[in-house]
Amino acid sequence: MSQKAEKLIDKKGLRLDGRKPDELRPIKIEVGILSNADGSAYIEQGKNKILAAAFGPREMHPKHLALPDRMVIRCRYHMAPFSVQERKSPSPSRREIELSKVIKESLEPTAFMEYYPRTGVDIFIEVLQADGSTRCASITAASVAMADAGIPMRDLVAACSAGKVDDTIILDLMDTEDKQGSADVPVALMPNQNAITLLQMDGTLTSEEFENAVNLALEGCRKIYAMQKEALKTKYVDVKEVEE
Amino acid sequence: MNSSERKSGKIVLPGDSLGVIEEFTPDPGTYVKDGIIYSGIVGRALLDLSNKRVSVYPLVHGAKIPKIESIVLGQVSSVQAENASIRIFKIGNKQLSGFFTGILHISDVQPSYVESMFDVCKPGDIMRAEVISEKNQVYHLSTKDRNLGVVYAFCSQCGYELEAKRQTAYCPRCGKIEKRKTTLDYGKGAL
Amino acid sequence: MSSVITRVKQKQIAQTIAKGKRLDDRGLTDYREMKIEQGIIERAEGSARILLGKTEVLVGIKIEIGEPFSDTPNEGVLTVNAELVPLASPTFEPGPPDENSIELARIVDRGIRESKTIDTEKLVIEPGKKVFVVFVDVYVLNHDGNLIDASALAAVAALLNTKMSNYEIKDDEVKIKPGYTQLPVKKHPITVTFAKISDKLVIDPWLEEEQVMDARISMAIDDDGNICAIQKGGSGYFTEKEVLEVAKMAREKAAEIRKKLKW
Repeated sequence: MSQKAEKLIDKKGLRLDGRKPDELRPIKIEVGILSNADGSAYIEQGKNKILAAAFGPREMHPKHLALPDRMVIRCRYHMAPFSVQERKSPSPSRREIELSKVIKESLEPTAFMEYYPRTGVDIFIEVLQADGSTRCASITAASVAMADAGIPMRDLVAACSAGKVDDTIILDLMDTEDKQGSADVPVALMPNQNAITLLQMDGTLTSEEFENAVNLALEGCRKIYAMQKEALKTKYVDVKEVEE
Repeated sequence: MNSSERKSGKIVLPGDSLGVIEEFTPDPGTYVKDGIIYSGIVGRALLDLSNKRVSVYPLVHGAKIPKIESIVLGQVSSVQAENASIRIFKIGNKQLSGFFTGILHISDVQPSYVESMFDVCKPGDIMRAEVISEKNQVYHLSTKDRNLGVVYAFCSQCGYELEAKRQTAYCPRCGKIEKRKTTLDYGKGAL
Repeated sequence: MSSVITRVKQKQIAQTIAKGKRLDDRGLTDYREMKIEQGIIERAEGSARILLGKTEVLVGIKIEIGEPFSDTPNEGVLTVNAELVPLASPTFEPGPPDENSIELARIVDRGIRESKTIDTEKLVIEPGKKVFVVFVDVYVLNHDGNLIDASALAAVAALLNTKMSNYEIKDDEVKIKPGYTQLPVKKHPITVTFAKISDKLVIDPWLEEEQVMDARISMAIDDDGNICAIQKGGSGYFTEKEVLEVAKMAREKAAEIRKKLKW
């Protein structure tokens, strides 16, 4: 994993894009941009550009997948062929299928699944441009899309990665740091419940480094959560009330 | 509670805490965990200080599924002698991105006796109905009210939109006369 | 379920068009508002996003080194693929491309290929062995009708924005050198689509019109006003007079739209 081709942290302690180790990339979140979805969100995090949409709850098809006492969330994380350096085949890779599953499982704890028995909610995520930590940005956007769809939730879910490069624990890894660093820890958090809903890691960390990395990632999640709230409030500040 | 009070509430999001249960009674739009009341939706929080209640009024068209008393709009997908199956695509004002299946039984069509379901609706028709039960995980519908029934019907012979004529439905293209349980606003109802 | 509602609106749509008007207040030969943005995906060699009313299409171009086809050893390779991604419409299902997305890709492909938009001879690195392969990936992000014109326009706008890496050949190996060259684009084909509804021709049909139209016809027009690709779709038909009228109007509209492209 660690092929130290170039220094990822310079003498001043700054990263390749000039960030401090504990600094997030610039983030922009837009809400409700797709007219055909029940809820949608767009996120730019550094060079990541990701669209997420939620459809439902609606009757499950095929019907045998429906559960009698709660709804089912289905998730598809998909990368555009032009989103990465080498063109990616549009058919889903094993990586995309795994990420679809962990993203789904990071969102399930927040939804009141029992309110909607026998139904399904489909979450579609399209990565238009990828630059590291796309699963985290996808979760951040997908939870905003779910809120925009009016799905009752316990909390938003904000996600952020931390990792280790050049013996330094850093926040919000971009692609080069992910590929050349020595560890990557993506974390998703329901901030008001203090509930971690996604935790993965690859690479090697001492237990002390791991603790620092998780704490840094959680701090990142809380900062991103503030931006999610801001985006939703900006969208709805002019809406008075919906007709029921 | 008047609407200006509702509108004045501050915007809250899922997970925002609204108070504690010792202080307020939680109303729709909220949930309780460990004694704390949180918002469960995107909406405007309303603290009713005189009655000590807190609720959240939705700012987005909430996720909706058919509930008892919901007025739904759907398309007839199949008709048998005693039952019609309806694909519901609208619940109240909310257009669905998918659909739900509802069943209309012949005994729930109108207060008086109906001999055959084929005189009520035909596949392709658009019907307005009320959800009356969720027994056995099936949405059972009723069209007993005068505002409920077929809103738009199509000729079973040529597919053209039928016009209401006295007690029957008439096809202006091929002249066929058919039977339907129509609504008062037949041919004009909003979709 | 919007198609159900459209069936009821069919009469209204047809009657309005018969009077020379449309439900969205456009004239029969007016396009919806069009917005072209180029270069929004930095990772791709070229990209463009088109907004046509609420229809939104993103095209990304990737360029790789590959082998030429054996019957055209002195030409680069063009590959067009279209994805109707499920977030664009409740009617789009995840899964391998269906007939609609393949038809869309092939229409876009023909417009570019037959007009000789790309100077494919300039994409040859080593004749018969190594050439540049141009991947045009059409990504439909929101479906509100007339995906053909939006996709074709986005593809040309993206090609105009495409940069290829410089290279040199050393010991039979292709080495990438710093710097970029603009992809050689010679023509700017514009595809114009008409729908036939109640015996009238309407340009740029939106979703509701597409759901009730009898038939659809698309023509790709090059810079000299030549027709370089045609696709008729839908279960209805066109008369000879209608086809000629489409050809005439498509030429006029294509010239207008071409002015919005920058090169």
